[in-house]
Amino acid sequence: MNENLAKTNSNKTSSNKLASELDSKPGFKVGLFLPCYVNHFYPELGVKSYLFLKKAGYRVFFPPQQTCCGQPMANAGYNRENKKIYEKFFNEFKDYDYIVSPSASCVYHLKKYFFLRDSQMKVKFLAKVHEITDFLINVHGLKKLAKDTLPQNITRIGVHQSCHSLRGLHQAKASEMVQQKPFSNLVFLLNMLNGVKILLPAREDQCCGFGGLFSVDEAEVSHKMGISRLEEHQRNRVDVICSGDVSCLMHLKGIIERKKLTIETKHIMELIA
Amino acid sequence: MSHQHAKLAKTFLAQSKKADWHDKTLWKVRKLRDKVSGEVDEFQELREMASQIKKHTLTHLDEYLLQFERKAQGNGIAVHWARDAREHNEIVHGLLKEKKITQVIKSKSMLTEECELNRYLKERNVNVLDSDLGELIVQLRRETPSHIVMPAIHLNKEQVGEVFLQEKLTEEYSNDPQYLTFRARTYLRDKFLNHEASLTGVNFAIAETGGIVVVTNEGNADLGVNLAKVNIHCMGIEKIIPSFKNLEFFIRLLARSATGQPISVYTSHYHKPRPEQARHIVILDNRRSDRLGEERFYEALKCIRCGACMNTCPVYRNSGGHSYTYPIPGPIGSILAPKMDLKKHRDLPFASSLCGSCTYVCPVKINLHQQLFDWREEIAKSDESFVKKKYLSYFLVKLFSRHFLTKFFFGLLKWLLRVTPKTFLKRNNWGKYREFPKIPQESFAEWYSKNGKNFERET
Amino acid sequence: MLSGILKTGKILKEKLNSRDFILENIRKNVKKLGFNNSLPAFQERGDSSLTSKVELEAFKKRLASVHAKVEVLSSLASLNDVLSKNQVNAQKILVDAGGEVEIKGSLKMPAAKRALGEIEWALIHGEMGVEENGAIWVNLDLLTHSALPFITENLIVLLKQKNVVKNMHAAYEGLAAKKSSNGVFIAGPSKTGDIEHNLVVGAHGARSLLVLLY
Repeated sequence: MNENLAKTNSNKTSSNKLASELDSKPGFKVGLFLPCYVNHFYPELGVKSYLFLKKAGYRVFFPPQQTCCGQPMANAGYNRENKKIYEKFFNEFKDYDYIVSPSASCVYHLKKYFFLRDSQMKVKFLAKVHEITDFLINVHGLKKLAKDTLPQNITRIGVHQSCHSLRGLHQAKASEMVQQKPFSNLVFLLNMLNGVKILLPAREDQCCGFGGLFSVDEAEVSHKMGISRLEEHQRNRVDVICSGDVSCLMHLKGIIERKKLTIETKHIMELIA
Repeated sequence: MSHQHAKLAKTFLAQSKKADWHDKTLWKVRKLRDKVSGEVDEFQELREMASQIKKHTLTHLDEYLLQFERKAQGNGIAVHWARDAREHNEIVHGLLKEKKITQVIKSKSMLTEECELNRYLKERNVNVLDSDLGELIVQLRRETPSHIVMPAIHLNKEQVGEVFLQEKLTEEYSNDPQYLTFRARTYLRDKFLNHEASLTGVNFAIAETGGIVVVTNEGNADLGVNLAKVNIHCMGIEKIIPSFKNLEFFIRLLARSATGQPISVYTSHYHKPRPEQARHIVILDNRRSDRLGEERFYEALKCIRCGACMNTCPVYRNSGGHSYTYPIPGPIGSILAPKMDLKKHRDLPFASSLCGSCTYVCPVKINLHQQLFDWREEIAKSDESFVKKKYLSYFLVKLFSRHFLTKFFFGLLKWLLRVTPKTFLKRNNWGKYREFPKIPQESFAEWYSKNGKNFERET
Repeated sequence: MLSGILKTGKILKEKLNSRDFILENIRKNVKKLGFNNSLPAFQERGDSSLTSKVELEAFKKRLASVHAKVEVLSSLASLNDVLSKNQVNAQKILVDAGGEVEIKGSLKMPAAKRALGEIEWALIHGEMGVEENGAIWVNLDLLTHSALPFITENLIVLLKQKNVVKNMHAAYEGLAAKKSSNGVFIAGPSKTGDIEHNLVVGAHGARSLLVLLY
């Protein structure tokens, strides 16, 4: 997470220009990458993402042999061992114009730790990899939604900005960067929905405590961090917590169900698609 | 995977009210930091400058140390060099012994904690009295600091009141911070006026002028320095900055990042000793120079010990400083510790969700969370690797390299989640606190193989 | 006994070598690192120089925010009046301001160190104020006893209004000629938050600060 990386700002004019160019040339080939656990445990997010991209005019494919981005092993200290996984990932996705994924975490991991023997090839390949909100806003130039209403029971939406989307992919202003102007991919997209109230927790971007293996290595601290997020969302009386990362939501939802709370969790694509 | 930090954190969290207070209070400090640093438009530029000055100094450290030594000696300061903690302690002890001094008053210095100087001197019948209020409190309780800027932040005022009564700083129990502070003031003023030697840490050492800068809010360092006959200042080799003018960046950043003050109460610059005084500086290496050769880790030496990474770290806030096995806790401690003793501290780089907030608040832009990640790799490569993590990772690499294995694995996992009794699921570290995700009818891959082609035809 | 001497000798030898050992190890490792970082240049901002305009009101506000009291003197002649207005008893004040200021009946610097602990009020000179943080530079070398600003119960600092600078960039620029002195930036009375993060004004140093601008 290099804070000097180019900031993805939803209002960048250059990307809007790129987007308008794209609009005139539809039919780009998009390879949809789903985190392994999303494929198996959250298929509806896959369906929503897939259909949304389709409707936006892309030729979308789900390379069936895809497996994993390699993050769990890297975070345990074994990124070097991921060579075969990265080669597989590359082979599955190399022929697409864009590789799009509804996970900031996996995309950030790839951007940062993916490697190939041919480093130039790596750079070219990674340039095609996009987190889905980044793709929709900055590449596609999404301005409004085809369907901009939500079921009646969802009006108050709590935003959970995942750390990897925030400090990894710079998809929102981090609270530490006091001088920066506020922006957020999630809020930008949620604002396209009619009649919703967008609510940030008091500690607007504190980590939920998932952290992959951290959630089991440090179960108590992880749980406490999750509780802290949920309490703030509860105080905001949110109907649903929305995030760009299902991993955070899986952890939060796990606690919600154990505690028998009534908050829903939704990935941003589940709300806007 | 036995994690010492996790175990200690569990104990810390068991006192839930106190733990909540700890989290809330340190978050308040983080917010103060946001507010006060927000008042400076060029704050990010200051961070960048401070980082670059430190980086420059570190790659020219031999020259600047020599310049510092020459200038300090010119000022009448004796300069001593210590390769490790033992030698550091021997030097300090030698200086005191020479003057037959058995009582020394000390202001905050994390370096002397690193060297366990107090214990070393105590064993040689030299009594060290900590004069920073927080450090005095933990010293009276025979504990160590739990935070580098707020050493007693793990305690409540009742506990302070109790130890003050027990150690006879008060005659009757009180938990009033104002009164307790006043009692500590009275108790220590007497010592300041009587002790012959003072010991301080060093915030910055200026190569250009051979002087040191010590920053406090309480004024304890200054009372020590200006009243004692013998001053000993202990510093790590990385405290050097090239010039006096460079302070403009560091002083603007330090207190804003540490406590959310625009500046600390006392920012003191000490050069020549007074005629009746002797001033010594002990420069400690203790493996810092080894770290200089490591591209991924050398920037940890930029640290100016402000503690901002602790205040912002949700893991630190929810586990307390004493759950870290190194004297410096929190993110910075977790990247310093493994270098000192990999075996003892191997779990610390894992005591992080890698959220990255530490890197973002660090006034000298240390890439803290990146180093936490990199230390995990170092540990994985070493003899101290976690066996379970190793086999799990090797297993997963094999698994995810093949699609059919991945599919089989998730199939098995879903089956296991379906058939395992709930009480059993609750026994592992995930299930202890969270439900497992619901198992859907089909995976996305299955849906896609059925429906994907149809949509393909439509477009 | 011989072994004792040899042992001491060995320790001494090691000590002699530590300096060179450390420096050599630094060189070796920087070489291993394989690069040198250059010293950056800071783009001075318009408001960072000694001549940039200072807002005295902002400085006064800062002083208040760090728990210092401020009085503006029309001239040094009104000093006595302002002091009595602030309930400073001339008999209990120790003036260490280089002869420029004299207060009738004020205390003399005690000869015994112990007696320093009984000083209630001390009046000294501040050489420079800093608008951005309310800090005042005190040159300790000019004092009869350098412990005075810290040991006194209450501190009074005289500061010329024209000696207030914008920020720390300007301050360190202004101190260029005095960079080897013993000096301290003082921002308010001593304070601590070490007991349950409660702010207590009056820790080990002075318990109050009165700034007299003239």
